[in-house]
Amino acid sequence: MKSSLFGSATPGFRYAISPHKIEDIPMPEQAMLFVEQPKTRDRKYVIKIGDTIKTGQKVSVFDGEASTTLSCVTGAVADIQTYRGDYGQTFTSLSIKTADDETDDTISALNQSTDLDNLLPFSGNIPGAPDLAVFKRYESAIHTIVINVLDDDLLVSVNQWAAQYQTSNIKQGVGFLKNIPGVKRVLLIAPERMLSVVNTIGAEVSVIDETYPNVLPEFLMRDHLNTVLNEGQSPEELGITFIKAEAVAAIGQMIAEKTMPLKKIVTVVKRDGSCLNVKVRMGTPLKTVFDHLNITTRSGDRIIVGGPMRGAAVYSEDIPVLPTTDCVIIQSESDIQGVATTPCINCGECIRVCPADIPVNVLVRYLENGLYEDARNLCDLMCCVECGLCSYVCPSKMPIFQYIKLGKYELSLIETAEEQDE
Amino acid sequence: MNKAKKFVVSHAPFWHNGDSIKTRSYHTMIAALPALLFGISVYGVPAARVIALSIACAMLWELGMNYVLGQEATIDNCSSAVIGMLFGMLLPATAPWWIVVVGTFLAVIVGREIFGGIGGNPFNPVLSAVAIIMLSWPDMYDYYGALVNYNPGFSMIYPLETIKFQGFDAVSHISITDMLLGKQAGGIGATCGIGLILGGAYLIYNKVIRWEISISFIVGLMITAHLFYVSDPSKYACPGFHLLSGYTLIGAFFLATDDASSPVNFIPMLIYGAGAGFLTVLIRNIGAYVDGVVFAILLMNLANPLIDRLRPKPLGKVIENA
Repeated sequence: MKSSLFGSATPGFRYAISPHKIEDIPMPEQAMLFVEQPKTRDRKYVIKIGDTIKTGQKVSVFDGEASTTLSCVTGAVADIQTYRGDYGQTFTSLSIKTADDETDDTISALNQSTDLDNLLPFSGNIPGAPDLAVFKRYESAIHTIVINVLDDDLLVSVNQWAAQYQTSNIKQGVGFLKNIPGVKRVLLIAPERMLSVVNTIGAEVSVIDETYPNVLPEFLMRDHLNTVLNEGQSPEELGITFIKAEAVAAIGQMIAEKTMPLKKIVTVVKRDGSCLNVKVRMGTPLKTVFDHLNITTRSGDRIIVGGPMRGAAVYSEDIPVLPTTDCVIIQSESDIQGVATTPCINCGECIRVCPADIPVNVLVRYLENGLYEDARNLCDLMCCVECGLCSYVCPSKMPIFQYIKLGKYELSLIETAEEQDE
Repeated sequence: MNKAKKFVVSHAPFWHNGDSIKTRSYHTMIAALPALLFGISVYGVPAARVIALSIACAMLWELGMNYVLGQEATIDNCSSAVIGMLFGMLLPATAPWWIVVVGTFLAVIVGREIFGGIGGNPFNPVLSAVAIIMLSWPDMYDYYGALVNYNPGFSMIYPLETIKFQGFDAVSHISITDMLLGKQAGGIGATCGIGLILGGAYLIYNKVIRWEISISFIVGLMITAHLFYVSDPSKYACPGFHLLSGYTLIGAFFLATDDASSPVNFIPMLIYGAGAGFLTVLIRNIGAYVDGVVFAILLMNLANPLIDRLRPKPLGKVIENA
């Protein structure tokens, strides 16, 4: 990390350059599917152990519940369990004993036409999890699509790899996006060193300074689109949507090859900090990936899905590679810096590092005491761009980022409750 | 599912820059060493005794408070040691043991712990203790009385007091260089200008203190002192004298920069520092006290919550004007 002595310039991290080499991980014997349908008391299973699922088939677990999950493997269901993620997210996980691929009708439909309507079921299920439904939801109000070639966290180089080595697919994908009704502008954001590659893609290119947290959507909008995203607003309300480079490549591949892309690029960061990219079938449990790379896990390690600044630690290595999984980090026990209960000492490091100019030192005092509404009204909680730099620099080792996320989550619960009361 | 393996789960981010309160405390103590060692070399064992007792007492008071409140012991972050060290540095070498014990109690318990411990104090703990002692036992900070038996080989003069009562001409024989090298009377660790400047530079380089506060304090003090000096050079001291005498430098680098009681935003830091510098000269030249640093900084501590509200507009904040 570099930062200037006289603290006026915002410090930033440099990005890792995507390695050229990529390791192919073979099809696992046992795969895992996550369906975002949590088990509740009155829900009845429509799926049972022993059922066969085809690749591309829509997987529904409970009766009467709509599902958007498409299976990425073929095989028989071996086990059904529940997995709990952060902030109340609950999934039903299906273990599947894999067999040779049999494609479902959803994929065959691609042979007839590859327009937006036919691609819709795949959004969220192909690598990079593009949200194609926004174009329907906002009824042609989306006028700008931003494709970021850098990933939104450090060490991760999935999108860089896609832009570098799947250029023809991205070209196809960009062509498709340009033809979506209402879209006027497709903007590709890339670092200077990748210009020679991305200039061939055929989209407008804007050069980005390769430092974190410049790559977060709020800053991309400010720096490249001259638009300020107001607190509580989503980019889509302003007619702007973000799609990862990898997702564009996946869309391009669907159009060119009329199949569902099933393999995802994942950056794996080993204990010693070395990164490598692997190409892995979605649904492969992390354990299989580790085994293939000769990484042995031990109790006390930390497994992180996502990057070092914004990722999420997981408690099980049976979690599959999902369409959104860009990075897996494994940290040894000795490298884990814990958090502490020390209060804020008001040193001002977070103020100097905060890219959104939030009064973090005061904010954290409100959040510690559970005064979430005051934190929002007086200390700009909702302006936080969630870069994690405040926790990174805190000498008290306060979990500031966690407080902020918790505050936002609690506020969303309060708002939902208020809406229900009305 | 392999139940035997238990992984550590925690919230992002998963990296930390390694900074800690302990490191900051150590940096502060290292930075104070040159001035402190100079003081000990001049005043000998009594000075070392005061400092050692002060550090020990401050840490014991914190430990005692931890015990009374049933908290985990927090003295290992050494913030109390810093308080003790700075408190000792402001005392004359002949300070009696009981004033050190009472003073550190006032600093650690009254100045900080009752406000909620580290980070919660509205005033600089060291300075609140010094202020209480100055008001209760005014003789304790009378350097002429305290240091009357010392003969270190240079004129044992406390410049601020002489100027106050006899005018600037009375100290015209002292050169600025001598003061920079510490040839004056004063607190154990507050006289050696060059040592304090070195320490301050070290702290700024290691980003333990905020340079804006120190620099604006010095600039504010120099400008105000200069205006007074121009108005009546025989009565008021020149800016250089104000800079190198009394608690100015230790105040600029070690006291005004106390984390909890100073602002963190850019413009408030400048206002805070310059205000403290301005008030220092005002108290010295036309106020009742010989040295104004203590009360000037305490007054600006009082204003800190208000001035620290001057902050940049956050990204994407919607300001609704009524």
